Amino acid sequence: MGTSRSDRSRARAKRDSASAPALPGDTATETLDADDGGLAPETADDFDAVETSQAPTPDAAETPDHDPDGSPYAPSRRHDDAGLLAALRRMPRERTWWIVAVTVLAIATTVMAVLVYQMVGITEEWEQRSNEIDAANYELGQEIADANTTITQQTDRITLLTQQLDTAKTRISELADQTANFDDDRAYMAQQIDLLSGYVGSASSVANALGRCVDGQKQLVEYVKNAEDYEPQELLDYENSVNELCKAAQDSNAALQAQLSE
Amino acid sequence: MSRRLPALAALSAAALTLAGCAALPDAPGPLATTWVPAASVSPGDVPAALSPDGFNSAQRMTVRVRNIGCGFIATGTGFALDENTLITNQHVISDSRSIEVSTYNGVKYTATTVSSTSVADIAIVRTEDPIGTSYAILAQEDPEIGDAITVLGYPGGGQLTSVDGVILGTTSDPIEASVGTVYVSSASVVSGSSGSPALNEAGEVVGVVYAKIPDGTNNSLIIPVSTLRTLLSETSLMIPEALDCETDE
Repeated sequence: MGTSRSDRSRARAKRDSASAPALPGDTATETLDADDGGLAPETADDFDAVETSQAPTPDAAETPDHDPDGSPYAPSRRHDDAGLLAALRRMPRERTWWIVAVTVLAIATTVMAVLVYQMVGITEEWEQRSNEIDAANYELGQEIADANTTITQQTDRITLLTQQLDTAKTRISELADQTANFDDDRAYMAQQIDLLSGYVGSASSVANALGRCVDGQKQLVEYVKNAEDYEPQELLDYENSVNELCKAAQDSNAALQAQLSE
Repeated sequence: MSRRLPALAALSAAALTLAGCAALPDAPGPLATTWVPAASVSPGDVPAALSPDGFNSAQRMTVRVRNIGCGFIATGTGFALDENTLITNQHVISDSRSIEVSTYNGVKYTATTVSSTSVADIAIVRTEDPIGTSYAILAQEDPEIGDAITVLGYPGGGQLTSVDGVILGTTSDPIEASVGTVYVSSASVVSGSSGSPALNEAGEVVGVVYAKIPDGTNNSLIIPVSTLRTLLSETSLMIPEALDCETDE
């Protein structure tokens, strides 16, 4: 490929020399201008392309502008040597570029192959993971469905238990109220019993007092029947004491009657 | 330029390869062992656990007070301040020979000591056995006019009931049972409600019901919690009551 570029240069130089013969000093300059396709004019390839195209041309050897002693052939040989050296230098450089490129591409291809292999493995692992997650999702979905069923059942049960709890609370309050009222009644009865016990004791005391009153009066009657046996003053004193006893008994009896009438 | 093209292409390929290395996804890690997050609450954290028998804290701290007096039986209401201390009205426990309290579920306790004050219609009843598991929380501030309250009690010595109302205003004690200002609320009360706790919306005690306004509305008169706090802190103001009829006589 580099060779064909050099051939094109030679052909171009040949074309130039045929169409417009020029002085040896002008040849390089015009050729450089004509070949200025973007490459640097100082490169050895371009000089070599111009000179080597002129050397084998018979017209150029017979050109009157040339030195008759054959001096034009001397630069031609020099240019051939330089072109050969330049070609020798150019070929390893181009080959190096290609070697580097091929090496890099080979390495890249190898790495890509490894990457593809790893990606296939990773893809398989992710596919397996996807399958596992799908299975887990189905399992969780089943659990959610079971939980929803349980929640519905438990909600019904809670509703029932709430109603039962309300009934139980109402019953507890009723029983507590009944117990409290029973205790109130019990305390009231206890007070009534205490009161009645007091009444009974008072009645007993009144009865005793009245009994003593009666006994005293009976005894006073006996004393009066045998009045000649006693001093009048003694009978009078005894009568007074019996009267006081009977009055106290009567007062107690009146108080008892008053209490009972409350 | 053209002869560098292969190298550039190769470098581009290498760059793409390196980029591919960088973009290569990681293999999946180990599968999660559980998909269910931990529960945010556990049994015992929810308020319902505080009421295992369905009765709320206010109902369980409110007690029925029975005054077995010298020839009479009277009932009122009180509330537990702690496991051995109850608050009620002085007129509920006056002229008493024995004080008994019963809880919302009918459990009965007997008071050991009773003390009252002439500063307000407040009495403190103490028991030897611990009462219940719920106790009153006293509010830090007195209620404001318009605040909603709930009064729990045993009106007429009957079942435990609650009645709602609002604070209507303040007034001087019309029955001269308490010194200072008392509150008037629209919560309707009857005999037996004396000593009932008046609770704010947070369930805190903001006052103690001690009477009703005898104007047909049965609006309640409430001793503010600030007075109660003062009496609880000034124990010298509380005078022990003798539970003995003979002493009274």
